[in-house]
Amino acid sequence: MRFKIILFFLFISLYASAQKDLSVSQFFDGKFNKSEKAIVTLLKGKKLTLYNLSVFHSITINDSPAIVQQFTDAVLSDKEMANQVEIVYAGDRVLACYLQLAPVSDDAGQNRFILFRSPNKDSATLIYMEGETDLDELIKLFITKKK
Amino acid sequence: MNDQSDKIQKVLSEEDCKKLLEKYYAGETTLAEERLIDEWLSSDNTQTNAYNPDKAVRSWIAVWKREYIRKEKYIHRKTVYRRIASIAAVIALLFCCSATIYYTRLANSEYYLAYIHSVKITDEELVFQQMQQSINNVSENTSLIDEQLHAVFEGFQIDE
Repeated sequence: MRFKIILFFLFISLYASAQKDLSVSQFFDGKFNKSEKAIVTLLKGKKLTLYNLSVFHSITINDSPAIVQQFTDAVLSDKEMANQVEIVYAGDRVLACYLQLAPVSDDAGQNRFILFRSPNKDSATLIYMEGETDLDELIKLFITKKK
Repeated sequence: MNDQSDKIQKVLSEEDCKKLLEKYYAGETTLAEERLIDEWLSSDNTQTNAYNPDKAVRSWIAVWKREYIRKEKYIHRKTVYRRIASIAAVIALLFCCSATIYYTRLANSEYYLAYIHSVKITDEELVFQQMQQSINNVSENTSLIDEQLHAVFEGFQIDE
């Protein structure tokens, strides 16, 4: 059991290293794993190649306006480094934000993506992904498929 | 010194000590006997020139023994340090190799994990469902906007 915990944290740190230059990285260090208000998903493996992805890490948070604001600030901060940006505002509030970031230097070809949506001030979903695809493809794949 | 001489004299006579010296030069004495010889040679009974050669031999042996022990200790210490260094190097090498293998395996490993309100889920299907739910969460808004825009512009025609 202890080994599995160490393995998990090593895995987290491994992917934290890919996100290290990002503001959102602070949320993907495992601190939401034990939160009653959060849903965390972490996927890595061959099955993600269906989406041309290698890593998928998401956090959905509810009843936490302060954290939602932190998510928003971090995503807007990372927007400055993004190659491609799509933002949806509801008045002054950021409703959704989709970012494509340059690959990390030692992992050329693997683009990084941040998808964020906050339907209200209390809840939000933040996704970090890595893969050999682009934002348009992802939006087409996820959103068009859904429609 | 007198006490020591008396003590030795009580144990051994001068004759006995001379016999011990003979035994010593024949290489047949024990360490305890050699200690007795040293004590006797440093006692008042042997303050004549007759025993000077014996004293010189014993002194030289004592110096040589000290030097030998010092060298032995130095060699022993050096060997121990070398052994420790070798063990440390082997451990470091093993650690580096294991870390590299472990890191590589970890980087290539598959991982499907979710925490739903602090409950850990490792069932792949459930994790994928949760992934899909997360995607739905971020895409809901866009499809809604698309639909709204579609509804707004429905019926409009662009005249060419």
